Amino acid sequence: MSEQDTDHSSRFWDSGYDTTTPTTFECLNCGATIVSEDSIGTCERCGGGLRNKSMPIE
Amino acid sequence: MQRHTTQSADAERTSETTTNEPSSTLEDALLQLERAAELVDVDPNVIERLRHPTRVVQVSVPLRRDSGEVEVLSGYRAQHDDVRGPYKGGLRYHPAVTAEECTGLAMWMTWKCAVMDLPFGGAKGGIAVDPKTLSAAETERLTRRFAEEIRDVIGPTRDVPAPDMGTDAQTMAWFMDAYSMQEGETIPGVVTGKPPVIGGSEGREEAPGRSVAIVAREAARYYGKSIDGLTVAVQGFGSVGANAARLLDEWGAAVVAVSDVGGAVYDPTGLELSAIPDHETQPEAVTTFEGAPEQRSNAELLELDVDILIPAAIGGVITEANADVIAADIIVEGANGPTTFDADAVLEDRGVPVIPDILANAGGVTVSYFEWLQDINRQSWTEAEIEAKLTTKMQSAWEDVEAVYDPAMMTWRDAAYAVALSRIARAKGARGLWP
Ligand SMILES: [Zn+2]
Repeated sequence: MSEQDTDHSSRFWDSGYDTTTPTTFECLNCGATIVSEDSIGTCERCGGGLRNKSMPIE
Repeated sequence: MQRHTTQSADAERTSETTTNEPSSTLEDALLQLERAAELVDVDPNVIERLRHPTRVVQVSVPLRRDSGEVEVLSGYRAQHDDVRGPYKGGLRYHPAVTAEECTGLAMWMTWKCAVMDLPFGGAKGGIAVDPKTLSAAETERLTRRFAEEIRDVIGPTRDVPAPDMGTDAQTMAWFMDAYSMQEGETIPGVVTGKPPVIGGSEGREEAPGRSVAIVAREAARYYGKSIDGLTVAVQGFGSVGANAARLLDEWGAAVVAVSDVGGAVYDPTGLELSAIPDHETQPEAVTTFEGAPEQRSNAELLELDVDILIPAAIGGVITEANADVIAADIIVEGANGPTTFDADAVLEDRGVPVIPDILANAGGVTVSYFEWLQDINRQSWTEAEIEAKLTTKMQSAWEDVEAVYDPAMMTWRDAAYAVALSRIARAKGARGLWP
């Protein structure tokens, strides 16, 4: 993103996670939103798979 | 409603795109188009048409904040080409969203859909806003107003948005509801990535990881490597990396290293992946995993001597600075754009094959296509059906790219773009130019 824009060799601005702020995940099963400092894999409410909201799907 | 197009500005940029170091997504997308054009026998008039997006819509989106104050934000939808079907691509809420970046990413979606032979063209859009500053109520109002502002250019047979950076299934649900309310009927096929209760598909979470694993398996086969004991290193233990690693492990490969933001664990004989907890029980699971004999940094993981390296975390990790020391035999791009333009050239010189993102991580958009198919046909497929259809689609896309790939002439990325470009060119040729 802004950092990526200055890197003239970067192919994309999908820079993914920003390690300085907590990551927001969405549960693809129950729809819960979970904010976490850590990289988490499953929903604490239903055990469903999570998606990191800072990443594109397509 | 404010609306104008920016393609003339974009067109002017095109003529300046001659350096080796593209500085924007759009310049890179155009450079890639030029490379592919040299490999495929295509009417130059078709290439000229593909240099320009069909339209780039900009709208003003007034948002009433919870405080009562009104703020006017800028929203965009770039539609690159729809010769093969409705436009498809994500909607992102991010402060850095611009018309130009959306145009480059829309172009990239055109190639991705074409290489997968999905009946879609490419689009991308979003709102220039930091989603972390929005309350849930503000996000809902913003999304509904944005849906209304771009309503006349989208629709299940026109342009089908999806979640992207800063947006999610709930955003798509509000978007679909706003669109359906105005149209007077329930139209689930207007967006993908919805919650399952309103027409979202099964199998979304696993799809990009599964496509990466299938493509890695096919690449290994192409280079005469057996899946049994195939050594694999995966950067990024998020949903793409973790699912790819687990599937490859299941198929007999030895996943020797995985990493998350905190660092990597390494076991030259293969990690016991099932022992790495699903992070909710143990924060920072990768680095605190005790079953692995050795720890590595994320940078060191990229330099491991393995059969297959899968960068699945973020873009721009393989650069001119480390491309020389990559010791993997094959790179499979799980993330979008993990290999920089300069690194690509170094790896090409060194003869290290790079299987490109537009093929490897296309499982995401492929399952979006399945969701759209279910919605427009009023059907619901099981997870097993999705899995089987995705496997078939990935294998056939791989076969099409492999049939074009000629190691003396091109990279795998070139081959994938050549497949995409020739499909688009044939469609343009068949349809002709109206009027
Ligand atoms: Zn859940």
